Amino acid sequence: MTRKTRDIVPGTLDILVLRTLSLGRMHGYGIAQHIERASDDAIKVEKGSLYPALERLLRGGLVTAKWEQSPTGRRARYYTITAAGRRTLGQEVSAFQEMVAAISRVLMTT
Amino acid sequence: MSLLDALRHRFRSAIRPAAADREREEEYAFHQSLAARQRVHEGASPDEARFAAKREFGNATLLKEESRWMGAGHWLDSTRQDLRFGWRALRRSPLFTLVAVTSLGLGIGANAVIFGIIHSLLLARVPVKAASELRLVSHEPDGPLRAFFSGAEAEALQANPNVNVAALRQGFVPRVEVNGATINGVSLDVVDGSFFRIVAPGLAAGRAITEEDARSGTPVGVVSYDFANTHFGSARATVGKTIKLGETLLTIIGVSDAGYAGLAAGQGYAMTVPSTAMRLLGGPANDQAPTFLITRLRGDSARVHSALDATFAACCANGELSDPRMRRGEQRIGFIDVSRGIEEGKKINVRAQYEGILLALMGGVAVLLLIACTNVGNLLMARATARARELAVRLSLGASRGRIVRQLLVEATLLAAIGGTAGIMFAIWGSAALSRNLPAGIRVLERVVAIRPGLVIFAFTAAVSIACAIIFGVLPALRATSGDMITSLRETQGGVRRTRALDRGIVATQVGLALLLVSSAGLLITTLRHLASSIGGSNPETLIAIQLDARGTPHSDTALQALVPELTRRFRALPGVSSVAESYVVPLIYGGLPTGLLDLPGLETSPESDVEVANFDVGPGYFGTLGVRLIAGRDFDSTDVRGSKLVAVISENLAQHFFSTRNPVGQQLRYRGSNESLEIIGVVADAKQVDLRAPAPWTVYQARAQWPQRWGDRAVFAVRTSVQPAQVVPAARAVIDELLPNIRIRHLNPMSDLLSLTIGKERALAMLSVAFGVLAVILAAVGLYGVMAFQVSSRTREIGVRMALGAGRGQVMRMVMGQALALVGVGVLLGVPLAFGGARAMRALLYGVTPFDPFPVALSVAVLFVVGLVAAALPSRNAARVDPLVAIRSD
Repeated sequence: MTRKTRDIVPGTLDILVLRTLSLGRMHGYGIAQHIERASDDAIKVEKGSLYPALERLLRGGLVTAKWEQSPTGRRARYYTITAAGRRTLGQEVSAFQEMVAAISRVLMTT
Repeated sequence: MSLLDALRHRFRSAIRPAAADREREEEYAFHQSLAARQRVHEGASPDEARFAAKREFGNATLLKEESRWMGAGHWLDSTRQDLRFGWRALRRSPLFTLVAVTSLGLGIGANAVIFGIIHSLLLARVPVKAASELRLVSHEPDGPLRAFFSGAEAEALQANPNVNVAALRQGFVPRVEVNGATINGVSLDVVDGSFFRIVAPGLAAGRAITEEDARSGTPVGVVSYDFANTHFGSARATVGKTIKLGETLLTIIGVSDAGYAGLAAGQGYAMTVPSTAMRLLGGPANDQAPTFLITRLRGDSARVHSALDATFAACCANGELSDPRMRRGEQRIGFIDVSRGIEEGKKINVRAQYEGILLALMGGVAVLLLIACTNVGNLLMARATARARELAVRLSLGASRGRIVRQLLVEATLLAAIGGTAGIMFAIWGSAALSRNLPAGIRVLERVVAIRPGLVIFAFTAAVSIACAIIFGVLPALRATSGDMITSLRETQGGVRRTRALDRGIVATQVGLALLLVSSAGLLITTLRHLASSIGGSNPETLIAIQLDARGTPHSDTALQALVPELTRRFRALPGVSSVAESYVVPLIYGGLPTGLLDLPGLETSPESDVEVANFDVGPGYFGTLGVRLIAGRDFDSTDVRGSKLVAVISENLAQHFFSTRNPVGQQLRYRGSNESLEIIGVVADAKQVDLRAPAPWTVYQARAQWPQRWGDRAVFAVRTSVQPAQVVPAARAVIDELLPNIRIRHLNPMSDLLSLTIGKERALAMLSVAFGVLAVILAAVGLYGVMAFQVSSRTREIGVRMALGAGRGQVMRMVMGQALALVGVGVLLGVPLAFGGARAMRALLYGVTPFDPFPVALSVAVLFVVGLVAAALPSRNAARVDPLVAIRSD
C-alpha cells in the first residue's frame, strides 16, 4: 500500500491543534508544521481549515492568542492552550480512542 | 478567565471588524512568508516559493470571511450591516421616514405620558429607601379597618425596646400664612421623633425632624418640595424661613425630596411637623387622635410580630378602641403593606378618583398607537411592494429569505427606535407643558403629570417601541419575501401588483378602531354636556357667585347681615349686572346642603318613608337670577317677611312624588319636630346643587327674610350679568371692600369657573378623547387614501380597458368610491362591537347616557363614511381622468 497524504477526518483537526498546543505555545504555521511532521506527512493541514479551527477554539475559550515577536523579527500570533482547552483535550482524546477502538472492532469483525 | 477571553475575542471581532480583519491578514501573510522560506530552504527560487506558498494557502479572502462568519460575531456583524443598510434605506425616503417617525413618536409619546401618570399615581412606591419594607401595624391582618391606635396604645407599643415603630397622624390646618399670602386647607403628616429615623424620607435640603425636636416642642417642620418651590422659589432658599399657622410661627428646617407627598396626609400634603409642635398649633392632643404606627419588616417579621403581640396584649387589649375579638384573643397584630402610601377613604383619594379616567385614557392612547402602527405598517407594505424588484434580485442572488426578512425587521426596529426616542422627547416636553396648563379642575395632578424620566418610563417606552416594530414590521417583511419573486422580476417598472386582502384588512381595522375612539369621544362629550347642564339654573357663563364670611374678621354676624340689603342694591346698580339674588347657597360652592325631615299633613309617614329634603333660604328673584324655571304658583316677593305667613317653594320632583294628583300650591308642609307649617306657594324645576352625578335632590326653598337666624356669619349672592362676568368682578370686589373692609371673600367667581373646577376631570377627559378621535380619523383617512390611491394606480390599465369598452367617467368614479365605502363598511362592522364593548368598559365614567346609546355610534359611523368619501375623492377623480389610450399602451 502506497502512503498517501490524507485529508484529515472532519472534526479531528481541533483535537490535533489542541494536542499540539499542549506541548507549548506556537503560531499557526508552527502548528501546521508540527502536525504534518508528527504524522510523518500523512496528514496535510489545509490552511483553509486551520485558521477557522483556531478561530473556533478562540471563541470557545479553549485557546488564547497573543501577538508577539517571532524569532525572525516579524510579529506573529502565538496561540496558548487554556485550562479549559486541556480539559477538553483530555475528554476528546479518550472519546476519540474509544471511537477508534470501536471502528476497528467493526472493521476486524468478519 | 478563558471564558472572558473568549467573550472578549468575540466582541472585539464583532465591534471592530476592520481591525480583526487586518489582524487576520497579517497572520496569513506571516504564515505564507514562513512557508515560502521553507521552500527556499528546500531549493526553490524566492519568487517561485512565494507563489507556491500563496497558491497553497488558497483564497485568503474567503478564509477571512469564514472566520468572520462564526458564532455570535457573525450575527452581530451582519446585524451591523443590516442596521447600516436600513439607515440608508430610511434616509433615501425622507418623507416616508418623517411621517412614520412623527406618527410613531406622537403615539409612543402619548402612551408614555399617560403611563407616567398612571405609574406615579397608581403604581409608584413612596419615594423612600426600601419602601417595600414599610408596614402599617394593624389589629386585623386582612383589613385597614383598624389600622390605627389610640395615643395611649401607640405609646405603649412604641415603648417596646425590641421594635422600631414610628407614629404618625393626619393633620389639617385650615389656614396658614406664607410671605403674607394665605393658603387655605393645608394637610400635614404629624409625626413623632422616630419617624425620620425609621421611615427616612429623603431630604432635598435642610435637616430632618429629630427626637430632640419632638421632645422640646419647638415649632419646626419639613415642607414638601412643591410647597418650597411654590412659595420660596427653591428648596435651598426655604430652609430657615417661617410659616405662620394661627398665632404660631413655625420654622422650616428641611425640604423633602421631590415626589415625596407624605405618608398619611394624602391630597394637599404640604409638610411634616412633630406632634409636640402640633399641640402648640392648636391641633387635637396626641392621645385623642387615631395614630398610625409604621414599622419596617426586614425578614424578621416573626420577631417583630410576637414582640408587638405581647406588648399589645399586656397593655391595651382592653382599650376602648380595640376590637372585641382582640380582647378575646382571637385577633392579633397584623401588618399592612404601605409601600404605596396609606390608603385613604375612597372619596377624597386622588388615586381612586382618577383611576377610571386614567385607565380609559390609557386605552385610548393604546388604540391610537395601534392605528399609528398599522398606518406605518401600511406604508412599509407599500414600500415593500415598491421594493419588490430590489428584494427579488437579492433573493435570486442567493440571499436567504430569513436574511431578507431580518433586514426588513431591522429596518422596522430602527424606525421604532427612532420613533421611540422621538416619543420620549415628546413625552417629557409635552407632559411638562401639560402640567403647566392643566385646567382648573385637575390641578391636583400637576405633580404627577410632569413625568420624571426614569428607568421605568424608559423601559416602558422601549417595550412599546419593540411591540410597535413587531406589529408593523413582521407582516410587510413576510409579505415582501413571499413566493412570487419571478413575477416581480418579470414585471415592468410601472406595473405593480394589486393590493391584497391584507392591505384592505388593515385599513378596515383602522376604520374600526377609529370608530371606537370617535364613539367614545361622543359618549364622553354627551356626559360632559349632561353634567354641565345639570346644575341648578342655566347659563353659568353669565353668573357670578359671591360668598362672604365674617368668621375671624372684624365684622360681627349682625353687622354683616345688616349690610346684605345694601350690598344687594349696590351689586344690582353695577353696570353689566341684570339681576342679583341672595341665597343661603348657590350651586357648586357649598360642601353640604342643609337638610330636614318633612312631615306632610295627610300623608302616611313611617321610618322607611322619611322624606329628607334639602332646605335652604333664598331671597326674592333667586329663581329668575339663577334661571330656575317657575312651573306653578309664584316666586317669593317682598311681602314674605318675618311675621307674615311662612311660605315655601318646592322642586318639581318633590311635587310629583307627593302631590302627583293634587295641585301642591296651597298645601301645607312641616318639618319633623317643629310646629310651624309652611304653605307651598310655588313649584320650580329641579336643580342640582353640589353633586352633579347624583339625581337632583328634593328641595324646599324658603323665604330668606323669614329665617334671619339661620344666616349668621355668611352672605351669599348670585349675580346675573349681561356682559362677561370678568368685567363685573372687579367692581363687585370694590363694593365689598368699601362696605366691609377685610371681610373674608370666600368666593367671587364666575359660575363657569366653579363648574370647570367641579367637572374639570370630565372636561379634560372629553377634550382628550375628542383629540384622540380626530387623530384616529385622520390616520384612518390617510390609510384609506393610501390604499385607494395605490389600487387606482395599479389598476390604471384595467380602468383604461373598461373606459375603452364604454364605461363612463361617472361609472369609474362610482366604482372606486364604492370600493372605499365597502372598506369603511367592513371597518364599521368590526368597529361597532368594539365601540359598544369600549362603552361598556367605561360605563362608570358616563353620565346621562347609557353605554348602549345607539346615537354616538350611529353618528360616528356617519362621520367615518363621510371621511371615507373624502379620502376616496382624489383617487376616484384620478381614476376618472385615466385616458384609455394612454393606459392601455402604457403596459
